[in-house]
Amino acid sequence: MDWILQFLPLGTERISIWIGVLCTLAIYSLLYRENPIYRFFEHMYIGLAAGYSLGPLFVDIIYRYWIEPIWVQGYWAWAFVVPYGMYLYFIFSERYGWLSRIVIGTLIGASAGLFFQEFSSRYLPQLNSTLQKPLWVSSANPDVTGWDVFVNFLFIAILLSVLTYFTFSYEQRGGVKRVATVGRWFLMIGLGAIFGNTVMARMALLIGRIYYILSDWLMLPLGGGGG
Amino acid sequence: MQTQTIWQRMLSIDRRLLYLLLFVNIVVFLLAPIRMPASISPPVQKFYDEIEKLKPGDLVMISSNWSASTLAENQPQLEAVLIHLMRKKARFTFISIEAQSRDISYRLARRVTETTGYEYGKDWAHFGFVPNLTVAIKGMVNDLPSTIKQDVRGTPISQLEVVKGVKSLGQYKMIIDVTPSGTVPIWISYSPKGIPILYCPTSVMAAEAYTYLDSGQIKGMITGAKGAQEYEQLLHIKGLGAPFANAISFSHVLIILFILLGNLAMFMNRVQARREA
Amino acid sequence: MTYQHAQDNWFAAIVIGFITLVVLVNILRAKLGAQLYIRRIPGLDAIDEAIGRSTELGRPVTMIPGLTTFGVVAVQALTIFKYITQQIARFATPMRLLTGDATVFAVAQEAIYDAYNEAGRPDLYDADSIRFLSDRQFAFASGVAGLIQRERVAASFMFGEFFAESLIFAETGNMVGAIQIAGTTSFTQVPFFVAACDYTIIGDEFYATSAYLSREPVLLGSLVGQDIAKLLFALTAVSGAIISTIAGVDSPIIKLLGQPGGWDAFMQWLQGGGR
Repeated sequence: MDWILQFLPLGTERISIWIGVLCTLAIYSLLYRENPIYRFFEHMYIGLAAGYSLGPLFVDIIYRYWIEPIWVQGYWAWAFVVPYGMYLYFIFSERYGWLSRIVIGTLIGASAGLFFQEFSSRYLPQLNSTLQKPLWVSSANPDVTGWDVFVNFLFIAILLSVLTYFTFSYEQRGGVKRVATVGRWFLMIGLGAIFGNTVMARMALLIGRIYYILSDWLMLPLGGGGG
Repeated sequence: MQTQTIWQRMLSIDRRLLYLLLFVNIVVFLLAPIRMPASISPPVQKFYDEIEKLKPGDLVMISSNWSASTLAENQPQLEAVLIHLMRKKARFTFISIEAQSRDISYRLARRVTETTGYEYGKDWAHFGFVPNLTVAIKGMVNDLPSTIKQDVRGTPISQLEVVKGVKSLGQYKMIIDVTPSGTVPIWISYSPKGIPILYCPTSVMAAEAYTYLDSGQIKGMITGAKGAQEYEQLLHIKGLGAPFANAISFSHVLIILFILLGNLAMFMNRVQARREA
Repeated sequence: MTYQHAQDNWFAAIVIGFITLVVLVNILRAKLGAQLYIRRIPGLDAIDEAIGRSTELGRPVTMIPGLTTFGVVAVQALTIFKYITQQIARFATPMRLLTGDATVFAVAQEAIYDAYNEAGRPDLYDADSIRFLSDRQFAFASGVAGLIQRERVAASFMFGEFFAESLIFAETGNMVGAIQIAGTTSFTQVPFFVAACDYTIIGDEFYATSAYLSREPVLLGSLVGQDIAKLLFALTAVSGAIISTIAGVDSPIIKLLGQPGGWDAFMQWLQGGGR
């Protein structure tokens, strides 16, 4: 009896859980077949997602970074910032569409400038780590074993063959084409490993939803010693 | 009318039946009282060792960008990480790049910290959400108080004891990124020199992070629910990682069975067709 | 491991400067009329075949740039979609372009209008065929899946940046029997496209496809410049591995090639200060 009373939607939290479960099951109904319930909840989800973001966007961004510095702290120079950003909406105007290009240019210019730092920080250390692959056991690298040397040779071979596959400014023929084909095979093996990882992620998404139904809605205890 | 062979029937199974079998499999193994031990993988061990190096009072930035959809992977990760940080008496601040993740991480952190006496504002804080992580990181590197201004409750940063005297992200001792999206390259690209970055991705994002782990750009990684299970084992706690990893493992067994049966049916069908021809 | 300023490693700054120069020189060559060669990507034949099939079936074509925010990848995706639109304009095949970013939506409207104009069929342009559904990942995925199912599309082109929603698109397309061509720089989504789509354009092939189709000097020059950069990296990797073998992984030359602080370490070594 207690369980039934706790289960029913008799409080705000329980009502929100019931609504969540209803939405979950409605969206999953697509797996059976396309139906009006799915369509309704799909459109509701899209609208909700757009609307939900507006509140935090205003409070955390517009108010925090624009309204408060201007009205409370007196930084009146910031007043041009949002109108400048809103020039982007002129993209819908045939006559004044050129105004939006100024904003797009600013965005692209800023990201192009930032990219130099991103390239250096993200890829140069990886290049450096690629260089630290000794190809022989020697006194210069006392910790390197025979197995490490084998792995390093494999690494360099895969790196060169895949780089060859992704070159486009010449016709790939003969030996180069064979190397590129080997690169494509290595690529596919790597993609298979990524696929396996991603299947795990997809299962986890489903498990998350089923956990919500079992634990939050039906209030069943989880096995495995957890929850 | 030609009767269908078993192999043809297998290939024409309604996919909805397979969905139902998967659903039942997951329900059974989520509820089953099975506790499987996990072998600790090197990235998780490195993650654990890196947090063990923290001293009491060290400040950690947690970038929490997940929402309800990736709850099964990111929630047990974040819960375990918070428990470990609190054991080391480290202070931490949160930042998010979307509204839902801001709310979810704030509620989770409140729930977990209540059990250990960690006080909001003094031991931890949530900076709310920022729409552009690149700009936020660059801003925090130069001048953190001016970039963040106030926390999720509207309290000015200057009044938060946890970040008293902190002028830059460079004063943090660690960055932990708990995310289902590709935000760790942004942290790697723009965060200050010398601050270790730890990564808690969903399984799908882990694949491209191994290059960063190999090069030392990230110091440790907990991958999905399986990684969370291993981490809980290292911390000797009971969390959601273990039951989720159980369910994932047995669902994989079912999928492997489907793949084997499907391929066998396809192969036998071809053999039969060649015989008939 | 992070670079904050060029002085963290001047050698890295020089390398980046050199690569930038190579790209700019090749762009200039392309603009001055040099015939830069790009090999044909096999996926291009698949695009034409898919368009032909949807025309035969009389069902629409969908073009999905994914959740790509406005940037290089989005512009290249729209270049490919422009080509596809010019092809389908010849047969008056209906199309839907579904975006998850408001800026991409606005730019896509212009691009598709230009495509119909260039194909001589401005009357076929329908502003409603280009839609912004949602910038939330799974809301966008639900909207796209619903539309693909309802309209029973015959061909689906997915070019851009994708995340977890990629398999939802590909599986839904499979369910309605659509021919699917995908191209993405999001490496983690490529396996799904390879498994579920009829043809997949992987990684850098995406940039080569847009350069090949548009023949724009900037794209052509960038691609040739990238190839030279790849050759440079390949030579550096091999020579670096040899230097590591002979002089050790902590050698100042290895540090110079990519580590922050490597320039100072190398200079110190040159001046006889040891490692």
